[in-house]
Amino acid sequence: MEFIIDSLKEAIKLIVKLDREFLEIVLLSLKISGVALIISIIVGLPFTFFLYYKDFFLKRVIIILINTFLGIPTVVVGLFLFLILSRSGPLGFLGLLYTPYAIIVAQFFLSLPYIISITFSSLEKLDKEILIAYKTLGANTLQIFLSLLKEVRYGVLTAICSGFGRIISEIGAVLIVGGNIAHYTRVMTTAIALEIDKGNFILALALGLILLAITFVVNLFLYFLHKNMKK
Amino acid sequence: MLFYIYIVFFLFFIGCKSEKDKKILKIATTSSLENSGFFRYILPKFETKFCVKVHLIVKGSKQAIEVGKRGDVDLVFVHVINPEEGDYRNYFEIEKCFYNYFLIIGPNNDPAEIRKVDNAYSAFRQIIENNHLFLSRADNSGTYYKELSIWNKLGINPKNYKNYVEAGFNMEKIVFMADQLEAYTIVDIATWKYLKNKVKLRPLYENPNDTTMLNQYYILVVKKFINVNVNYDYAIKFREWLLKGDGKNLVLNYKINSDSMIFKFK
Repeated sequence: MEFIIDSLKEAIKLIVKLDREFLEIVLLSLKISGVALIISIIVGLPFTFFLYYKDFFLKRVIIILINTFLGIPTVVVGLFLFLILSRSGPLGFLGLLYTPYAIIVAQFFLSLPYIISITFSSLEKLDKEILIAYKTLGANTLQIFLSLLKEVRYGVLTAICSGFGRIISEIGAVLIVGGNIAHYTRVMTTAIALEIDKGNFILALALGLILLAITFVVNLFLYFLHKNMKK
Repeated sequence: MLFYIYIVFFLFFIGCKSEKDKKILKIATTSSLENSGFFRYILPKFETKFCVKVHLIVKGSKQAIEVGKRGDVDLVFVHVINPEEGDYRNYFEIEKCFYNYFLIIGPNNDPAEIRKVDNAYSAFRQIIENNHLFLSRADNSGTYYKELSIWNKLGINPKNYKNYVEAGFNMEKIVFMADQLEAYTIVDIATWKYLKNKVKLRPLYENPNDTTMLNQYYILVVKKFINVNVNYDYAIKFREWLLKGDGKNLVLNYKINSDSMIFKFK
């Protein structure tokens, strides 16, 4: 027990004095996951509205597939991307494996289903009449998109938070396609695993605390969001 | 003022090109070399001298070879595996590098009494046949192949024994796990020197002259034709620097916890 308390004290010291290595890893993680999240929002939201707006063959199949991807193990995504991005793979000429871009691609695919699925389910709760109303008022597609976005803003924010929570804390894909290269693709989760291997529990613990804090803040935000929504 | 301008000019001419323009050398290595701190010691010196950035990817020996074959890295460090076997020559230029040795570690009270034996084979036999826990890497690493070769010579299939535990972790994790389980395991001397103050286990069979426990490292340079993007030139520079140049002296002077002579050259 004493060991745990001592380590915790040292870890907090490390956080407070903003140790360079520690700070670098945290910022890199936020940067990579942030970019991945933004791309999946840009791709995900229009796709979701398209899915809601248009009725077409296989629509339900696509929705079921996306919901399946919510639970896909991150190592499986990592494995597929490794095979595709490897120099001997179909996209090997891009030279993306073992770079931060490969991690962004992996995290994009991991957060996208969250963005789509959660946004879609809040859209479905809307009254279908609303679409007809917009159309009779003569709104164009972009106007409908923006109006719907406003209607389901809480759902969209929930989706974004969930997607972020998924990718900031995942290790499977990051380790496989990133390679855990120091100062380059070493993010919080892979650094924690490595430091535990090396028996340096202090840095691991400090990073763990930050990760916990980030997830906590995200959830706190979600909590107030839902509280607001009920009002 | 002029003085500062001079300094800026001076730095401009002697310094490396900007971070962005630097060539990147990708090295896949076994966990035993990286986690014990060897590369953190040697790479900065190579990077400064040749103005290059090294990206290090840590894998078990077999996996490291696999990513090399695919052309995802430029140079591969492995140990134990005999690169003369199989089709490795088709993909790599292979050179023998430094060596050290493996030892058997276990609980201090040594229930299998391997402190008394004079060769590695008897030690392995006593552990497994007297029902003492033996922790195996079971992960296609060099250390695992070393262990398998010993069981093979003994004609023992360890998987038939309940006290043989296949963990599937890297070297450091296995040492910590063996410590918790009070099990025996085999470890390379570099990793051991790095971890020995962090665990209660003790070295129980250690003989630097026993060829059975030899830990030979190899440098594999990925051949140019594997992929046009392979950084062959810098891989060769690194190999020559390490085997013949300044790197060799750095390796010989390498210390872990003030113990020297971690790696030797033949």
